[in-house]
Amino acid sequence: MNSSICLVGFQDEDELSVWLRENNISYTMSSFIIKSSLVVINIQNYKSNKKDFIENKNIVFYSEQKKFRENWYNKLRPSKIFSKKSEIKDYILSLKSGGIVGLYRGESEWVSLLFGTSDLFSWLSVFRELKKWSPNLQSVGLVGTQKKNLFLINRKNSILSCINLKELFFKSESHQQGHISTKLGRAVGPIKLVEMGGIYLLLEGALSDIEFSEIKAVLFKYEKIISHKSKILIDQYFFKKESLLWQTVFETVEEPVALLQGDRVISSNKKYKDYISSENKNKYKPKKYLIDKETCFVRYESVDASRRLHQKALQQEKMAALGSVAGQIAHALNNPLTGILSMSQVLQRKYKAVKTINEDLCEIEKAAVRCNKIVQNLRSYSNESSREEFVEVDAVTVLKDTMSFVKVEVGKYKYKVSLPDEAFVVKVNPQLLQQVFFNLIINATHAVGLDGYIEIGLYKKENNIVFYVKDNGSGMSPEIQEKIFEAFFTTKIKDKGTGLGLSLVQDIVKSFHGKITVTSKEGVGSVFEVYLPEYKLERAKAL
Amino acid sequence: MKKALVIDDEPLIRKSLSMTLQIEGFEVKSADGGIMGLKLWSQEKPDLVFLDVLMPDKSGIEVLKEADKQGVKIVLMSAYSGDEIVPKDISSLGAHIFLQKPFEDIFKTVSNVIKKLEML
Repeated sequence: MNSSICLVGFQDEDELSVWLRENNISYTMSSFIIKSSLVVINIQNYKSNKKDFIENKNIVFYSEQKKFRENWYNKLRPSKIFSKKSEIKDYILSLKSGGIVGLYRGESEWVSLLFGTSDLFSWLSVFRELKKWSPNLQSVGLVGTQKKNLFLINRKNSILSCINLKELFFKSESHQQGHISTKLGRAVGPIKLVEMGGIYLLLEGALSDIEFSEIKAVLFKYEKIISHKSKILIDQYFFKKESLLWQTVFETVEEPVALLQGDRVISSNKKYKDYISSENKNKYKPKKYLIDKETCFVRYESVDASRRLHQKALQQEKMAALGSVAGQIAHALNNPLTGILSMSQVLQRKYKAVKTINEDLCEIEKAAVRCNKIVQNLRSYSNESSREEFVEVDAVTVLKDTMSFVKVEVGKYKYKVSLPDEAFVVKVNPQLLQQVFFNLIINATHAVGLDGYIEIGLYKKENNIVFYVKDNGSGMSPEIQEKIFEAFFTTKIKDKGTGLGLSLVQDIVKSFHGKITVTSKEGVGSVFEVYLPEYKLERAKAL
Repeated sequence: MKKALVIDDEPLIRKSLSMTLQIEGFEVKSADGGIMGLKLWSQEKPDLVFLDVLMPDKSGIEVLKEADKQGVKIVLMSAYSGDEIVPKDISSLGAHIFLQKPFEDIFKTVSNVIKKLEML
């Protein structure tokens, strides 16, 4: 497994020791803490020697009690001290800006959170946020321990957070309270809570054996535990169609789900019924969760969605790899290109009088200039710092440059380019802006047929500079329009693009503090517009 | 007649720069690497040197360290833009002008360089 971030949370140090042992992690508790990129501690639950922390600069303490905060602050001077859980959450989320602590360092980096009982779902929302910018943080789940706590884990079965089961149970329907609390005893082994499309399943079994664990209870997105490992409760709440659990789980799930006894379907949702009768069976792949020897819960995962996500991840990896290679290629090409360009210019002067040779040399020069533009674009893909530098550019000039680049493609159809007379100044990365223009124009050439007509231009609207590409292609349905900026969503059989999907174009535009819109009508055509804030010197000075 | 020396491992760059400098009235010699460059430098005692940074046998930076820069105008050139290749302060090395490759128009580039150097 490549680099990943693991967030681990424990009730107290005992839990941490147990977990280290169970997971065959050879660090002692102190060295584990030291190795962590970030340690969040709920002070009142920490009993051990404070010296453990002195070496770790990334410690933040948290306690809701003022006296603890003051006491510990004086002893240890942590980098930060919080009095509310929401502050920790904000702090962790804030880490994503200006460089993320501990992510993607080539080996697993540990961010440890030591805290007491916590509200499961507020932590879940933190981890969901983190998941967004850390693709290696796998889907979130839960694990139970011997101490009646639920731990939040990721798919690698590392513990992320901890909640008290009792607390959570009391949040469920009141008439069950007494029933559940008497049933609650020591868990025999680890219990896992797995999130799948909004449903949380509590599973007991080996940490590494998530597929064939027993279903003990179901937690779902309304944050209620309805049942736990009692079979009676499962019978009452899991199998019965009229039950609230059934309704909430089975009726609201996006994907086909069913309860099977052997091959017989006991219960299923509407989606499942469509699934078994449709030709699209191979669009879904089943995932089974055993309840007992014969009974299992099946969830059908959409193959497309997971394939697209997988492809996006692959593509991102490729882009990153390409980025570093691109930089090297760009540099290697520069020298010979300089030679070709300069020599063709010198020879043109030398053979000024010989028209034919002069013309050919002129073409060589133009070809070299085009190559150079490609090299510049390659550079923008590379991991050079120039990527982050925004400068004031005239969008009109960038569009003119782009047009020289796409003339061959666009020239196959009728087209019109409206360039304003004045400068349209924006503060962006010019190479990336050129990429945006380039991609939208090329997309238009792919959209139109032989009678294609493409309009390209720039105009101003309320402090914005708007770039538009209009085509008379076949247009897009509302469903497709909704998805079009999704990562690598494509209606083409094989992506004919030169590398940037619309989702990356959107990312670039967003990084320029702009936005991209699409208007389309089937049978008529489409218009893509990119809004960018106009850069005004006076406004900048005023800030 | 003023003397110029072009040191670059790319043959087309050597040739085109030499021809352009000749048009500007220089007597030009060229070397395909740092070692040959140093040899010609001490031999010919040029007034103006165009020196590429990254060369396989010896880098332009090393050449600068070893050459006799007294009274010589030096133009450093590079296809690379990173700080690790070309230090920000070229004057500490003894160079006067830095040129980024590629040259948009070699004639304009060279004549601008000559103008700038005359003012120094």
